[in-house]
Amino acid sequence: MIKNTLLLAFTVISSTACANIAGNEIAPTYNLKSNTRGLFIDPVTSDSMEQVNMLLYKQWYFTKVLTLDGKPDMDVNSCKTLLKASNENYKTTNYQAKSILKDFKKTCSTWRDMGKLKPSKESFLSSFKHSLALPKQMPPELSLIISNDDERRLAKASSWEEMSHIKKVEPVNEGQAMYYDNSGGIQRLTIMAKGDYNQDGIEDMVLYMENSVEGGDYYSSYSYIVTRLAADAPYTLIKQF
Amino acid sequence: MMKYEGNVPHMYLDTKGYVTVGVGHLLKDVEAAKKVPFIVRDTGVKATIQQIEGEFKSIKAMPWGKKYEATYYKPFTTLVISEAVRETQVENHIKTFESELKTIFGASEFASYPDDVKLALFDLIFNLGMPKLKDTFPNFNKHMKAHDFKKAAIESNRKDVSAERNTYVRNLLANAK
Repeated sequence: MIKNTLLLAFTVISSTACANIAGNEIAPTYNLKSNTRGLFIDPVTSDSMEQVNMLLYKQWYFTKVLTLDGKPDMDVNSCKTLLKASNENYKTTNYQAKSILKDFKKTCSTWRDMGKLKPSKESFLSSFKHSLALPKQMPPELSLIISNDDERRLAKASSWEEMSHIKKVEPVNEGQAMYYDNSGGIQRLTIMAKGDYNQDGIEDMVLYMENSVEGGDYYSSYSYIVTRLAADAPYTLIKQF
Repeated sequence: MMKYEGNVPHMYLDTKGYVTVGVGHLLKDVEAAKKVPFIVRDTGVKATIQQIEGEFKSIKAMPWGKKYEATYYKPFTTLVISEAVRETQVENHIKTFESELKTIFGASEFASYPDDVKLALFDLIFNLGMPKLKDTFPNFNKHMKAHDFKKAAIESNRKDVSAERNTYVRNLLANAK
């Protein structure tokens, strides 16, 4: 009897605890508007999970024609067609189109991963803020790496700041800021989404970085998934692409 | 330059959000834009200061980034510059790049480099800008100053630049006579 009562009590407490956790789950959030203009005729107007999943199929306002020897040309006008063309080794000979499509492919891959975000049980990202302090907390992979010398320094660095020496930060909007380093590097960092990517219950963050330089036409872009395992811990890199 | 930067007759925003025209000719502010001899695309008539100012401001307010090709801005423009103006701009850019390269490597040192090496340096500074080339390629610059162009060729590699463009520069340096 005592045993059954204890079992019942344990079951009730356990169920309540589970219910509380479920009730306190943090839903994924997305910032689509600032990263989707320029691709679509109809702008993305809501930052919802449904919109994220639609982005891969949504038609761009323009079409790029890619070629492959011995095959008919392929019209690329959405993430879906770009990823298909890329998998089949279709190419463009135009230098600028090549560079743009490479960047689009990263954006499409980022959206694909954003669609995989799950609700989190816990978050240490609430104190995130674009500021001069951020590069000290972020992994060195966020830095602008161009030369072989940069690559060699990256192997030993422990933070973005150690690599880049950020001297100025200019907010663009709530989720986006420009970071200027002391050697002509200009980086635009955008928060794309938050949610649990690696399913450890802790909220992760999807970031998009566009790199350029003062006085030159250099450009590169990267997406990162980072997390923070404690309120005062540095950000940890989960994935870069 | 034209191959890598494009040749655009109307105003557009580059990947940093700066208003640009021609072959990557940056218009720092509205005053800089007013000095450029724009013409009205449809009539060929010289644009007024007010037209240039209005177009500069409307383009500057638009979104920017790699996703926005120069052609994205075309429907929002009415002003263009002629081919001759674009060519003059390119010549002026080359003069600026030469001056910057002389600052980095020294005027007499730069003058002593073989033509192929100079071509390679022009591509590098056009792509990287002077601060990045000067500050973040120490091993490349060390080999250049030692006239060891074969070692400089290896260090000329730029991450995320196309293999074609990296190979072009590497070969110019590695085969320099």
